[in-house]
Amino acid sequence: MTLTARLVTGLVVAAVTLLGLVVLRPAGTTLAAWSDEVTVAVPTLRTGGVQLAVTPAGGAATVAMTGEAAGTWRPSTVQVAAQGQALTGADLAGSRVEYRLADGTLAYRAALDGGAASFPVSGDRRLAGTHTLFLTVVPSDRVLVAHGGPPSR
Amino acid sequence: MPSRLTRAALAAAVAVVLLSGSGTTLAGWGDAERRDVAVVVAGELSVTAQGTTTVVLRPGAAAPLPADTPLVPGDVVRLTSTVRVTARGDLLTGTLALDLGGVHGTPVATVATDLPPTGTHRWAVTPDDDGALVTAVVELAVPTTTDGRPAAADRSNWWGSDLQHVTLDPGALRWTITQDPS
Repeated sequence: MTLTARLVTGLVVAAVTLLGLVVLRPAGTTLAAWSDEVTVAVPTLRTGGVQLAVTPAGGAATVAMTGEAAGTWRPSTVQVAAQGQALTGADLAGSRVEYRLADGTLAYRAALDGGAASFPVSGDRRLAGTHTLFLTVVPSDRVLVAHGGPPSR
Repeated sequence: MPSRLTRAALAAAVAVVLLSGSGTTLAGWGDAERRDVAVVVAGELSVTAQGTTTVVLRPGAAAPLPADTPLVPGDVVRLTSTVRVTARGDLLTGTLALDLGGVHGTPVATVATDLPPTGTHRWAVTPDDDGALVTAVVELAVPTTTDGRPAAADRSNWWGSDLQHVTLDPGALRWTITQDPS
């Protein structure tokens, strides 16, 4: 290797070393900083619930509401069927479907209108806990003739 | 007459010997002074939980209910979390932040503090705020209906038997305090 080549090689090595020192030197600043944290867990929660249990007994039914949540209940819809076939409002024209409480008070009445087989029940009274309801179905003469007896359900 | 290469090698060897540390010194004079090591005290930047309460707010109830009350649609779970900020150190600045990302559902938070806000749920902290208390009130609502809209007459968005007797994990909120880069 000639002297010139050695000189060039030495200069290259010196330059690389100097560049490494410049690049790798401490910058004088740091991204590290103090930090702290606190995690606050929300306790596990549980929902309540309500259940309605209906116990039919002849022409009456005992409806019981149970569960952790307070609430009220009332019948909302009713269906009427004869020999397993649901009757429409047209089928039941002239009939009456009513709910009475144990003391005989008329509490709810179904509107037997239209071609649907499910009828809304009206009545403002809201019941709590357990009550016995008496479902009264007063069929029209046409229904009696058509079905040969009182519809039920 | 030695060659140029031999002379150069000899000169380099002499230079190395003369310039290397010999382990001894010819200096006769000396002096020394003992100084006690100064005590260095580090500052502190931390956040500490001071108290957490959880209650259930029920429409129509006169007072908040205990956290273990079985929830019903329409209830609001209120979590109150208080933390104390410790910030000691010259020229120390930091940021206190409340992270609600770990809280499930749609939490609504209000925070009571004298710290100056620097963003959403972020506040500046300096040594002047050492010992400051920060209280966050986070509320989580149990939706009244499945879609959050008013109850439909056809009951299409009523819960029905869903959401009954289930365990809910609301998650956790996180306070962080971080030193600002200088």
